[in-house]
Formats: sequence, C-alpha cells, structure tokens
Amino acid sequence: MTHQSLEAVAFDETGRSWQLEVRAASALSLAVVSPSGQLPPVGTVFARLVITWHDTPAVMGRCKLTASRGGPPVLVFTEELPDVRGLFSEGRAKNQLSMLNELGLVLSQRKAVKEPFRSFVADVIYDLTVYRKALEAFDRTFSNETREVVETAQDALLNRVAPDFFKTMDGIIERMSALVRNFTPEEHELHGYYFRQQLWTFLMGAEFMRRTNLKPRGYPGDAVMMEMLYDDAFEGSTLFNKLLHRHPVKHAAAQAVRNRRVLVPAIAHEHLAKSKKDTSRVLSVACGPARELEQLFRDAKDAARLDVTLLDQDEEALSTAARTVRQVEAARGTRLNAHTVNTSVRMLLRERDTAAKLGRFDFIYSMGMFDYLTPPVARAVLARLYELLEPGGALLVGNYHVDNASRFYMAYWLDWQLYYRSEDEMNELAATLPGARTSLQLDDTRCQMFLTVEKPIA
Amino acid sequence: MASNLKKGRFERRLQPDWNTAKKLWDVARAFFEAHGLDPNESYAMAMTSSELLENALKYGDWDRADAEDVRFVAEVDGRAAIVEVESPVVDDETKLRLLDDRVQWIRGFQSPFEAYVQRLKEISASAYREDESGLGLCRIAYEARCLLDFYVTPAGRLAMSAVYQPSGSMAR
Repeated sequence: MTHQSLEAVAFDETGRSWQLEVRAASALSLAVVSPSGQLPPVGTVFARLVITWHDTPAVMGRCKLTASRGGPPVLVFTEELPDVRGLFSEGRAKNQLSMLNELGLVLSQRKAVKEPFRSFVADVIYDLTVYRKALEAFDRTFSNETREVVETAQDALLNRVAPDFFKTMDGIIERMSALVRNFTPEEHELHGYYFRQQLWTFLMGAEFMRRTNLKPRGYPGDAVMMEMLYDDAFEGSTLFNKLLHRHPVKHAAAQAVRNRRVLVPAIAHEHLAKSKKDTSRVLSVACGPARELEQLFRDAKDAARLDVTLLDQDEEALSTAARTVRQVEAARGTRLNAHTVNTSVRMLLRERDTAAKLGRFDFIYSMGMFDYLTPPVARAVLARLYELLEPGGALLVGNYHVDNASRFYMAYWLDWQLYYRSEDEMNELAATLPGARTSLQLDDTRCQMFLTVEKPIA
Repeated sequence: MASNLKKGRFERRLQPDWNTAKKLWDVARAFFEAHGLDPNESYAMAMTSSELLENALKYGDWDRADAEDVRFVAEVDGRAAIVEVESPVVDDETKLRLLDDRVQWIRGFQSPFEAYVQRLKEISASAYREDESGLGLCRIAYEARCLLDFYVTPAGRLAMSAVYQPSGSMAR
C-alpha cells in the first residue's frame, strides 16, 4: 500500500462487507482496489464506507462503485459532496454541501430591508447599468485600434463623460447618506450587506472598490489601496470601470489622505525646527507606503538631519515604503537614514522595554492607524508611543472624524469601517498621559482630525 | 441611545473559576443598564462579558506561577460601552499573530454577519479546530454588535476588549 492509500471497509444494504484500499482519484472520488483482487461489480451501491486513517475510523455515507476511464473503478458519493482529499491529510472530509446550509441565513437578510432603500438600490443599479452599457459600446469600438489611439481616445472620452458620471455618483451618495443617516448599527449592517450583495458585480469591476471589499492583505487600508488614493488616477480595464474606480478616490476622505501627506511633514518640520540637535529621530507607526517622505525629506539638509524608522505589520507595505525611500533618494541625490521594522502595535505593546528595541524619538506620527483601534487599545498604544518620545518631543496621531463626509460611502460601497472619533473622544485618549500638552486640528476636508501630544522637556 | 449614556467605569479582579463567569453576567448587566444602555443592549454586553471571561478561562495560561487573576473592566465612555477582560496568556507569537489577523479580519467587514457567514462557509469546507476557527469571536461581533480588539501587556496578559456604540460608529 502506498502512503496515499488507506484501508477501507464498504458495507452494502444487507450488511455484507468488502475489504478495500482507497486513494484519492479526484476531489470527489476515491479509486478502489481490493487486496484480495475481488471487487463487487461496477454499479454496486454501498450504504456506508469506513476508512481508517492512523487507526481512526472515518464513516462516510452512501456511495456507488463507478467505472473510470482507463483506471480502477471509483467510489462516488451519492448523498453528500465530501472533499475526499481531507481524508488523506487529516482523516476527515468536509461535506461541501453543508455550505448551502448558510444560504437560508443569507436569504433571510433581505426580508428586513426597508422599502425606500430597496427602491434606491434598484435606481443605482439602473443608473450604473445605463452608463456601463453606453461605455461598453466605446470599448468595443476601441478594440481594433492601436494602443496610442486608444489612450488618446479614452482620455478624450473620460474627460467628456467623467463630470456627468461623477455628478450622478455624487447624487447617489447624497441620496444614500440621507436614507441611512439615522439607521441603527443593526440597520447599517443589514442594509450595507444587502447593498453589496446587489451591487457586487459593479464593485468587483472597479479596482479600488474590489480591493477594499476583498481586502487581500486581510485588513482595509493596505499599502496598495493607499497608493491608489495617492495616485488619484483612472485605473481599470474598461471605461466604466475606470470611472467607477476614480470616483471614491476623489471623494472627501480620499482627499484627506492626500492632504495628510503634506500636513504631517509640515507639522513635523515645525516641531523639529525647535530642536537644537544635529540629528532628529522620527518614527512612523503603521507607515504604509510612506509617501509623505517626499515632503519630509525636502532636501539634502533634511537627509543629513533626519533619521526615520518606518514601522508596519505588513511586509508588503514595508516593501512599498522601501521603494518610496529609494525614489526620494534618487530625487534628492543623497542617501536617507531610513529603517524599517516589521511588527504590529499590538505586538509592540508586549515588549517590556520598547525603547531598548527602537530607541527614543523626537517626533512620532501615525496617520491612519488609530481609526482601527478601540479605546482600550488606542489608549495603551498612545501611552506606549508617548513613552518613546524624547523630552520635548511631539506625537501626532490622525483619526477620521465622526462627521467624515465619506463615511456612508466607505461603509456601504467600500466595506471600509473605521473607528470614528469626536474631539472629546480624541482628547480623552491622551487624558492620562503625564505632563502631556495636547491640541487638535482638522484637515481642509474636515474628514480627518489630528491630535498633537507634546512631552515636556523636564 | 448615545445621548443617554452616562459615563462610568467598573473594575474588578476576579478569581479564574467558572462560577465567576456566571456571577459576572448579572453584575455587568446591571452596570450597563445603570449607565444608559437599554435592556437588550445591556443583555448583549453581559453576554459579551461572559463570553470573553469564558475565553480567558479556557485559553489563559493558568499554570503560570504569576497567573493571579482576571481583571474585568466595564466602561461607558463617550459614545461607547466597553468590556475589557485581561488574563495571563501563553507568550506564543505565532498564536498572537493569528489572533491579531482574526480580529483585523472580522473588523474588516461592515457587517459582522458577513464575517460570521464567511467563517461558517470556510469551516464547512475545511477542517478547523474550534479554537482556531475564530467563529466564537465572529459570534460576539455579530450577536452583540461589538468591535473586538486586544493587546498583550508587557506582563504577558491578554487584554481583550469588546466595544459597542449604541448610535453606531458613523453617527455622533
């Protein structure tokens, strides 16, 4: 018997049994041989099959011996759809049909959807379908043209259509916001789920929406999403998808991301200018692609004076940040003192002496992380970052404001949920930091709030 | 509703035994009702308190010499009701990273229902052990409508929290 074969006993309806050896012929069938050379005839139906894996029996349901092309006969299960490969790796095969059990749960969600919302969703689908069909006709026209012709023609067309499309989308978002503004948390969840089920094919077409919904790195706001926001460009395979991709990356919350890339380095320079040190140490927590380094390192003088540590939980984000470092180095014609650290803040809090590992810093900033931390964790992280500050240092923390104009758009279309905070809630995070002097400011879009925490010199 | 929330905090050190989980239910429920949550919301927060405590008892590192006790915090703060359970945990970076991934994954869905269904599907199609499935955490997020989060203290204690915002995260 090879290591891929298992011993099995098949029982027919009368209780008669056959000793068999089975191996996976496919995901859904088992190739069968008999140690004695005697197999029941093809077509025999067995009431159950007991397979032994490392002395542990796995009882399988009704199956039928079926002929296979050029190989030994196979057993195919007639009432369940087990993935038999699991039998050989862990001694159990999950019935894939059980996935259907959850369908009823999903279908039942529809019943509680409010009628005005249903009507709104139908209108959205209609409007988007009209645009998609019209633009697909142009896509077909372009199919036989050269790349240069297509690019020029697409640019012309996008410039012509985009204002109308964006106006339509703005109207849709406004109407949706008005409809859902006073929903309870439960209603938001239910209607958001319904909305995405209905709009799924549209959402999967637009690059940005697909990524925020599928979250391939396991969390929203990964480095690739951030790059899309910074690039603010038409991306996608079709004209319609390019437009649908671009709308959310132009919206208020996205503009706030672009604003902070300039705002945060400006605040950093303001604080660091007060320092008399030759070298100032800067820490970026959850750095993402670190595009703000372009503004932080304005010239060779900054490159000589600043030492930057970039911390992120995601290796892919750190690779993107390293690329940004190389680009800034090329643009400024000098090497940057920039180092990467691969860890999450939750892991960082485990450390007994974080300062021994990372050192202390004159300026620490975190632009897009606190929106994902609940109050207990946010307080703990803020306290730890405050400990890492040199006396006279400053800490800058961004958090989307509870009045973020894109919040319903993000939640419903992008499945992007943040922990929004009010001014009071933001101030409370820093309330127990010893000696801390705090201030708050909003960016121009008024979507994002920044808490500055200064540590006294003595 | 959020406007009726009364700020308050309740902290207690608890002995790590199963009777504690039972008693905690009533204490937590009374605290949240007294601080402005309606009976259903208070019930959900009591259930969450109990679930988090049971998880701490089940997966905590109680053989450790300095294992001591469970720290339980119930808090109503700003627009949120918060439960935090802190207990000793095995210092296993791989397991903590897995928990980190699970929590971020669940939090990635606007609707915890979606996370719950997704996890059910995955469990149907593959063979997870119960403690690896994350289904229990999904259930807390879904049934109690709580945002989950955690960190590990330098003393090796897991502080797991669940936050409920009665008016929702998107409203003042």
